[in-house]
Amino acid sequence: MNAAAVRACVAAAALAAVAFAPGRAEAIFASPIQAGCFATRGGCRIHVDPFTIMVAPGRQLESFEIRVAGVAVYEFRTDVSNPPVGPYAPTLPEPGFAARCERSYVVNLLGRDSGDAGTLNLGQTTAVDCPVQVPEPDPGLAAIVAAAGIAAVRARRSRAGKERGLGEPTA
Amino acid sequence: MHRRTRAVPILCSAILGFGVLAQARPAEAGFASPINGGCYIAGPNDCRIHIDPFVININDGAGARLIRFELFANGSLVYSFRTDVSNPPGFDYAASMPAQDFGARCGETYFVNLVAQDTTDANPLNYGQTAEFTCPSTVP
Repeated sequence: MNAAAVRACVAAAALAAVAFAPGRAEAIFASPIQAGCFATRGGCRIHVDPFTIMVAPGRQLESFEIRVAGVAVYEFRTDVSNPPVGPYAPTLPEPGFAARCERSYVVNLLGRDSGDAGTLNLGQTTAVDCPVQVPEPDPGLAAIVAAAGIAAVRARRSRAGKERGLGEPTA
Repeated sequence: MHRRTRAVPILCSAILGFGVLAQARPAEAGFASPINGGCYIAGPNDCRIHIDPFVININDGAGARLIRFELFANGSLVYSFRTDVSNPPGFDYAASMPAQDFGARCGETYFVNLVAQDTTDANPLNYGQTAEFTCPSTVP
């Protein structure tokens, strides 16, 4: 056996030892985090698409948190006596998370399982741009628009009535 | 004949023993899948508690039926649920949660617990509880 073969063998053994070491900690991770921002009459909100958090075998999910621009908008905790084991796909609040219109936000997910010393960043979006706020209807303007609409409909009806009257055969 | 006289006490003790064992077995209580939830901010001064779906496992082997369940936040009732009086569910029950979630105070810390009762429970029992979580206080 030459020296090169011995060196290759030793390197392979070292790599295998690192890869299959019994105490090697497997980290918590999540499916991609995707989110968007939308405008409502009450302001802008951030919607996060469903995701799945994977915990290491034999561990339990303890918590996760959704942050927007570094500020927690959703803090989630699991059952104290029976926390979930294995992949966890939470349902997300239907209304979405509060945000400010015309701002850009990075959304990230943090999580922690029973083997983690601290909370870890599990995923993150690029900057999401919130749209311009939906304009609230001005009551005065709305009344004018409604009156104009009604007048236009009446005018059209009377015109149509006159045209029908002209075209009808006389007795 | 001799064999038969010896068999009778053995049979009797076996029947008695089975009876004692059956009596000693504790009554199975209802339980629920984990109660997991959190708090989020939906708007300025608009925080809400969201609970992930759960299943209430009633003692259906004993013919139990779900009577009620309640959700409490910090011990205060936030959701009171009753089943049909004449035809209550006799199977594991997956309740749907209100889409609008439950009102909460921004900046406050909460835990949520589920209390339920089936027809074999003398009183409502605690079926599950979350760890504490804190509601956000500001819109980012």
